Amino acid sequence: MTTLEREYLLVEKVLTEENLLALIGNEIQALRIPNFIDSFACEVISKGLKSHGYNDYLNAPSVGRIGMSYFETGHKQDLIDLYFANAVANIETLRKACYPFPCPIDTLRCVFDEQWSAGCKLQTLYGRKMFVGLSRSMKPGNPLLPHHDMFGRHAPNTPEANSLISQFGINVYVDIPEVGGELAMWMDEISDQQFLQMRGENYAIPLELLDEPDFVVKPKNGDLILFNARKLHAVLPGTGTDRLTLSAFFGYRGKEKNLTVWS
Amino acid sequence: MNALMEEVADDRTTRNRKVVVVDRQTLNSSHIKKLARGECMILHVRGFLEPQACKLIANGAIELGYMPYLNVPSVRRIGMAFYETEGNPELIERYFSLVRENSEQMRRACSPAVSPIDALRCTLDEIWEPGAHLQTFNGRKMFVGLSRMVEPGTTFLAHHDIFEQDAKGAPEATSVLAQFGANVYAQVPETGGELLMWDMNMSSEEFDRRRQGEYGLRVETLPPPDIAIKPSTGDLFIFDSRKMHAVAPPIERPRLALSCFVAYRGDQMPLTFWS
Repeated sequence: MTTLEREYLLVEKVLTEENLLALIGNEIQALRIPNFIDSFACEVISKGLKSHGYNDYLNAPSVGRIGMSYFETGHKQDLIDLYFANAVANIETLRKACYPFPCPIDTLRCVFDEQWSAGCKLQTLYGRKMFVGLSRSMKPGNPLLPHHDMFGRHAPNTPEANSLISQFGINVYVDIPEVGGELAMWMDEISDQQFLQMRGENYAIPLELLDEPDFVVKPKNGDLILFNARKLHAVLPGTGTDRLTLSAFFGYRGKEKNLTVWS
Repeated sequence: MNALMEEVADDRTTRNRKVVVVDRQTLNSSHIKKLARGECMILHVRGFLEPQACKLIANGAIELGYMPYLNVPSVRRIGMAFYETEGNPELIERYFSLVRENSEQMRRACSPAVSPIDALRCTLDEIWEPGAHLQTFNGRKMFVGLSRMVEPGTTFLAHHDIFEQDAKGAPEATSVLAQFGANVYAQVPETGGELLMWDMNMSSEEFDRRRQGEYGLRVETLPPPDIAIKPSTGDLFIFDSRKMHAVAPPIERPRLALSCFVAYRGDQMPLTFWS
């Protein structure tokens, strides 16, 4: 483990309010819970996801997904309608793909609700329930380019986005190549304007435009990793096999407020 | 896709009180509102859990072993019900100190299948506009997800479940406008194991007087039930738990159900759940 990894990454057996607060309080940048799901579950869920099949992101070709990310709506009303029309059905699709194992995102929603004093609920937007539990597949050799995640860019001038104090990424690692596929993070928190400028025509910033990441974490199958999504982060290219994850965001609005989750 | 169906339970004694039958995909907030307003007594959600998951859960739960209720020795369970604390501070402390352990044990008991209670919690959060979350009590998280085994030849005596009876004067309880029982049936006997319900809200005083030291009333001491409804394996029942209800004795094998309560505090308030 590098010095920075020791400094920024906390590895814990179980999720508690205390370790969530360390992440929220910026004491660490990533929280890793190994064996959130066991290897048998990873195997069955991986098969289920593959047999369901992945479609490319609408706005990030080369990244396969099951479900739809709100990021894909790009302020287009027809895509926003499509997103909400399928939100709950897509949650069910992921559940079926994981069957008979629990969908790990369902389990995490319950654990958040149990551990966080003010509970956890599915995020709503424009009075409608959002989708949660996107599965992503990265082909060997393809990175997920450096980006940060800002709910406010995709849902501007909404109380739901404006009230967020911070936003965190959630990943459950289902099938990870032996080599590559690391989560890379930079400590910079750039403005969204600067980000949009740097990415140009790309969906995110080309890797070569940035210095080396400040730290990288190599996930193992079954890991749950929560990280500060407002820092620039990327997935490094994997080798040999597809890299399958289940992912979501959680939003923090203060210690007395419930957490919310969405994709 | 199955259309929403409403039907009167095909029992001669239903007296026109409706059982609303839906499937997992069609369950929505209007059904919960109907139940809250007393427009029906039972929501019958068909096929909430798939047969393979039921089998895995039934096997796992039996292997893990069940302990009798503290105050109802004939019913065995995994987890602890708040009802068992009976206002005793030591038992209340025990209930809360076991929450994490019991939640994990409940998930282990279902493993490798999904915990039906986790599935129910997520589903309610998805269909109910203001969302759904775990009930807290005095600032502490309650347990949710009791798993109960009713052995052949034994019953659940007729009773009602009213949070305020177990948590007298607590704002968490007095704010409840309607309380529902939710049961997911992982194993159902061929014969027996029906949910019996009476369209009757008995006062706590009358209930306490008539139960004569037992936890409930013998079914024979009541008029015939208004509804006797048999779940299929994998079904979910959500019912008005403030009305008198009982379980008919299973005949050839135990009836295994995972259960919790759901509190309704108005259409604009989140639902909460606990056991």
